[in-house]
Amino acid sequence: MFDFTKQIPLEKNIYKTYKKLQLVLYFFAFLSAAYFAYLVLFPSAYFAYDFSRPNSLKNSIISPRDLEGKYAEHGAVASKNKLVFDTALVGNYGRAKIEFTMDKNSDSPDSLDISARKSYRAFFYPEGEPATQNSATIYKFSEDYYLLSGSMLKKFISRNAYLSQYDESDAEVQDASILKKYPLDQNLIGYADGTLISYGISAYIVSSGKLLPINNTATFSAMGYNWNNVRQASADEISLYEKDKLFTISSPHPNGTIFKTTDTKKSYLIENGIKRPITDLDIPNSWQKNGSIAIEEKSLSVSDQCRLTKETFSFRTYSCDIPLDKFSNLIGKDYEFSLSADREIKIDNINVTFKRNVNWDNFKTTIRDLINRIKTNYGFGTTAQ
Amino acid sequence: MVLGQLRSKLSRNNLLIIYKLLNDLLFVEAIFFLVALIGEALLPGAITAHVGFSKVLITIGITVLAILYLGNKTDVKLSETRINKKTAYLLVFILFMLLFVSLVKINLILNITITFMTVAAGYFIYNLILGED
Repeated sequence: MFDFTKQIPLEKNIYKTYKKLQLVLYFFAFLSAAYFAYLVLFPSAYFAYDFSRPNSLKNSIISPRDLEGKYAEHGAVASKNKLVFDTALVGNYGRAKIEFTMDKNSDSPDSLDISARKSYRAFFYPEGEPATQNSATIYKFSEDYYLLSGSMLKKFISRNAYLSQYDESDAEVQDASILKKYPLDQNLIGYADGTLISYGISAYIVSSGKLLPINNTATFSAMGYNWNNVRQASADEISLYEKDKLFTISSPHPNGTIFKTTDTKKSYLIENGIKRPITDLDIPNSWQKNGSIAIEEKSLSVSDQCRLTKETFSFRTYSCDIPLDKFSNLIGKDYEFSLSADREIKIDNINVTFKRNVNWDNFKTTIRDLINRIKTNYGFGTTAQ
Repeated sequence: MVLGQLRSKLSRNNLLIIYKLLNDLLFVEAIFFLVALIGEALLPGAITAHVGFSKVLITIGITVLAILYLGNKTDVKLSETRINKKTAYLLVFILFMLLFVSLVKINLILNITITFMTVAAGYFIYNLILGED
């Protein structure tokens, strides 16, 4: 092996010792390089939540709550209740290691179980009443469309906005007399909730009268959206809306989203934290016009669980591994975890680590992903394909 | 004082072995830094997501300081070696590519101009400071 300091003479036996130690050094360097390559090629995903700092930006676990959806204040979980939380990520992972660090004043539970499901967060919403839509009276005069709302006419901001909700044939063609018959409401009607629109290089989701700017193409793809459903909007149309906070991979699908199950052929409308089944698919409305998100009904019932045990060198940390093989073919990017304990407990921290299995498929996936990211970085492609 | 006590316990031979091993370690760290720099230039975040450059640089700095300290204590005088031209050309080429890649999103002509001017400025500064009279 090479010697960078040949000018320093050593006795023969000392030199032999040096050579042996040098071999050990390079062996450890090789092992470190291999470990680093493993970290890069089979990356883990980390999520954490610290109940003592609920507003910390480092909290990547989404919405720790009880069964009723209330925030788990100070990490307290009642014995008959559950702690439910979500993580959002893309990619195939082999297992998830879940760790809970109990509060100093918490009782030590005898049994602590956690289960996991995979889908989209909004699809885990409770099921509500079937969605209904009242029939609408629409008039067309010149190139403008009007909706009769009560005794007033509401104008659609554009033909595009009208077509995001209704068909051309739904409008009754009228002459100018219609504007004399009904007073005109000053508020314009925009796109239907759940419509994807683009302006410049940005894409948005219209929801509850606001625009949610999508933060990147990876989020767009991870959410199950289709580029073919994006409508190009004008500056006037964009100015009709107030911009809301950034829509990231951690956001749930907003109001107006339609989920269509591929296995049971059902449709659901997301509305204010509830998923409402759409029973009458013949209703010509926006629900059929803006594209739906594919989902599987079975993702609600497919789950896996593990029992948490105390870690060897810790008094307060409990952990276990949930295999994720069952979920690998399910649609969605959100894992929902539910923790149940045999007695009331108080949790300080939650840590979830998603680990990849070391296999050829994952290796190929990572390499493909790296190449795509390099291409995207230099403007030769897009991550959303 | 602690270091002094430790040094008195170690023979000169042991110190020389440590000195030589530290040089090897510096080589390994430099290679890692170079590969990490290229990886980070190609895909920002690919390396720094796992290890920050500050940590790598601090490690290299500590190794260099340890080499200097042991070199002084053991009175090692390394004669000046000539720069390996092949290695120097390779490093300049890598530097050139890193500069080019960092500016890849701007206009190509402007990118080439800035890269060329930077390398030229670097060369003249090198000549001014380290060049022979």
